[in-house]
Amino acid sequence: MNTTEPHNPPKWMIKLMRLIVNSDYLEEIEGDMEEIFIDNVEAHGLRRARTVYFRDVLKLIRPSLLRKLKIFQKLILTTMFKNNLKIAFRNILKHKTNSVINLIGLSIGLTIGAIALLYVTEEFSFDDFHKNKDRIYKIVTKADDGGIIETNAWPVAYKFKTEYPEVESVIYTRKAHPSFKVKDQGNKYGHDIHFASEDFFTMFSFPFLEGDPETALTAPNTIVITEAMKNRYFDGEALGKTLTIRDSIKFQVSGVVKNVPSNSQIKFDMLISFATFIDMSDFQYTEGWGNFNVRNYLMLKEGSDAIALGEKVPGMYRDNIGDWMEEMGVNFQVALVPMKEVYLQSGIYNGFGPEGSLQNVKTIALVALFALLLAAINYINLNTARAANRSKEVGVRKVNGSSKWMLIIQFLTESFLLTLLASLLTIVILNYSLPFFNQLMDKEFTLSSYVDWRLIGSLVALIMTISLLSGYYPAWMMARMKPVQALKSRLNKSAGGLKLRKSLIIFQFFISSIMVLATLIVLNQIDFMKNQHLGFEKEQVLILDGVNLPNDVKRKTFRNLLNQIPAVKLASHSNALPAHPGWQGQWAYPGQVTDKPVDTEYLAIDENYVEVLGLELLAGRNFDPEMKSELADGLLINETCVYAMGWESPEDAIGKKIVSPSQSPQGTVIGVLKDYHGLGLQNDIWPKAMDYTSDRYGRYYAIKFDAVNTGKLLSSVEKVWNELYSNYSFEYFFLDEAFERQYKQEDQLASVLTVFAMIILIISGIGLFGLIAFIATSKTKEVGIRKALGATVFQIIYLFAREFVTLIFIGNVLAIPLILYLGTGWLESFAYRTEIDPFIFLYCIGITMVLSLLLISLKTMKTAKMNPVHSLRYE
Amino acid sequence: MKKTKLGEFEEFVLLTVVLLKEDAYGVEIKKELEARLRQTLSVGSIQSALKRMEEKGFLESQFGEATKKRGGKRKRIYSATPQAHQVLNEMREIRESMWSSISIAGANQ
Repeated sequence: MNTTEPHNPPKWMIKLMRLIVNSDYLEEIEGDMEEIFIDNVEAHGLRRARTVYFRDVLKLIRPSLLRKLKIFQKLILTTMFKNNLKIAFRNILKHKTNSVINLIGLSIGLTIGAIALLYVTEEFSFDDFHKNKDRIYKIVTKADDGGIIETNAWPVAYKFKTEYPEVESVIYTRKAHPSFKVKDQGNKYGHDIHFASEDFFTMFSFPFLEGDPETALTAPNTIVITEAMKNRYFDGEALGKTLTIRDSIKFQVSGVVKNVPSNSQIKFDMLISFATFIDMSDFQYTEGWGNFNVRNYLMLKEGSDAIALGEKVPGMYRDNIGDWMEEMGVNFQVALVPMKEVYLQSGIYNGFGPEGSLQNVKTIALVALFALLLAAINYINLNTARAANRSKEVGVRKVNGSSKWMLIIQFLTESFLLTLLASLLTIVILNYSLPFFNQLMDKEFTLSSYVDWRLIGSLVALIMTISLLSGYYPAWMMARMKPVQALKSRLNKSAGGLKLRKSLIIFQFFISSIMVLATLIVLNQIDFMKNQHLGFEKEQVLILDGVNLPNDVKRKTFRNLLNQIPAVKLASHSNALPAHPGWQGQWAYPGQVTDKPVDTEYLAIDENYVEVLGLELLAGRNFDPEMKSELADGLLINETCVYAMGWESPEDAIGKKIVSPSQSPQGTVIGVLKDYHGLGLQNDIWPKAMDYTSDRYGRYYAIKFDAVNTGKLLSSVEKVWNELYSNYSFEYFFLDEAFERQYKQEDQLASVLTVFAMIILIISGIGLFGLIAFIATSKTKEVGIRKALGATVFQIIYLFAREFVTLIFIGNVLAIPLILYLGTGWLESFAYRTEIDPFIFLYCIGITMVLSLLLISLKTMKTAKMNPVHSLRYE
Repeated sequence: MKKTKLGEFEEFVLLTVVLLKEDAYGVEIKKELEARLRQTLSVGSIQSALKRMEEKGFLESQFGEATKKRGGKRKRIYSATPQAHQVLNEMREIRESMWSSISIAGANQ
């Protein structure tokens, strides 16, 4: 054991123990538990000790040790309640299959509910920790097509600060260039680094461990780092020490903040003062109305009216650059988005951290609700089915003077007790399944995340609702039976609630089918996107990221050296590749600046680019190093660009001129490329224009290689790299992998849906199984008579299955219109999409039918095979 | 009378308390009993037996010293009451007389 740092049992377990154990005994028991824990750590290690501790905590739940709550005590002492509890316990034990089915169903439902609750709570708690959150707004730019640009022109925030008295402060931020890497003992490490202006820490609430929040970001070349960074690069206090970034720039640490909490949409490892950026660049706060490349937040003075301010400012661009906007054919407006809405609702990325999705939150909440509902339905179905068997009990109770309400309370006690047991089981399931769900949803939840009064409150409410929801109807149905009828017992056999039961089964399979169908649609679309012809060849292309390399002639030398490696077919240098777009949103005009710009993606390439990617020329020709004039002025464009410029055909486009205010792209079209997908198939193909300037703007080296041992290829490429660039870290990836990564979100959705669909199917299946089990037992005699009269086993199974098959079929059919509507809506967010394949409906019916028939035959086989001699003697 | 009855497990725990004398607190009782019964016991089962017997008047207890290993929490030392000794002896006598009749019966066969 590590003697300097004693291991402790997990905090939440201690809290749980303190919650349940009688306070008179707590000191003694807690001490005992701790002593045993420490013994176990020494003897068996931490893991085992924790498991034992957890098991022991759960085993402390026994009447003699439990905390004596006053209310609980009173209730316990009420004879009636005690009696109810006893009866409930006996009933649970008596009908074991039934109880186990209910227990499993409820605890699976509750597990999903508890996980969804945690997920939804965290998503909604984003940015709640900022003291000033209600006064902070993100400044964004609205284009006239309704699109939102999340960056602003330089003077916008400056004007807010100087001309509007209700604004208390504004901040400027920019992401640092990827070449900003920390140099430590000869190695370079990439971190999440941003520039931020001086009011950043007075606006946002990130607690300081060292330094002064008010002045930390004022001076140039100062940097604020998180605790994790401090521990990584410094021993002891970091304040005033220096960090070297980007080879040689020295930064003085002016502050250390606590690590950014997981529910912050503003995430960073280090923040460099914005004054540094101003010093390094030509940008000024007062100029640059056309440079949309800073992010801004503003904070209002207390008591100021955001709406009134919002109404005053949209015309800011028109007032300052109205003429220019008119000339360029664009129109921008300033808009404010409340900070709390940035993460989940507005669909604006803030450039800092994770992006939430209200739709995901809604989907998960809805699916969890369904899982809970289906579990409750199982309980209702099983208990209404069993009602007839208990009618005698009800009759006797009523004759002896029990009121309807007392009976309802008695039956509700049963459902409460069962739900309570299910909740305990849920804790155990959660303990083991959280890592799996974390991986699925990309979160870092632990059981201790639940130790929060709001969450515990919601969970208790959830448990109460579920037991009421599932218990009330069966209780009411049983309680209202007339004593005479109830005592006759035969009369009511399975008639009560038959219709309800049927509709609930239809509903269960309706939901199950929706889940299965949704999963199939998502999987189909992913399959479609991954197998579509992309217009370029993504296999066997190795990419080197030259983002840190200096822009000089050595870039070309390096490319030529790469081409001399035997395993390399051809190497190309460019600023963009599929999945790594060039400069998007460049304005280009055919011939001269006219009223409407074409939104163009600009790429800087070389003569090998077309061949390395396997692109197809429709008209004209590729760049030729021999024809110097074409290198200087020539442009390659794609098909989409031809039509966006208003030209007739690829042939027609050759020789036409393109101009642009930024000069990129600008020149004469010498070739037209067939369209290819530069981005994942969620996106349309943009107009693209490429010129021969990779020497100036290049970043990536794309290397087409022969099918050889990639390890050997990499080592020879790295050797060449080290000959020229031994000071720079060698970074590479493969084009096909980079392209597939664009489907990460869809892949994640597919796995979440698959898991949830399976869980919901399991819950429905369990319910069906329970119901069949009950019906099979209660029809034992009927089966006996039928068999005596000559029915076969198959005929008997058919007898049981017939009714359910119809119900399941109806559930499936009902799901079709809804899923057509939802599925089409989802698919519309993809630029390239499949149709909904009608076969998926058949698959879905197939899956649900096979599953239920399997369950039905499994359970009825026994009854059907029974010798009529025995079954007729039954009861 | 119900109150004076001892369950089998309670009897084991009570005997362990007598056996351990001044060392009789939760963890030691558990260790001793686990060794003798050759099975793992939970803290809850031991504690609930102790609490029940204390309520029935078989056990008395007082706080002992606190150690660092226990996170500064005090032990509770248990000791058997005269009543417990009496009941234990009675049970032993009953058992012994029964066993002796069995062995006599066995010898006669």
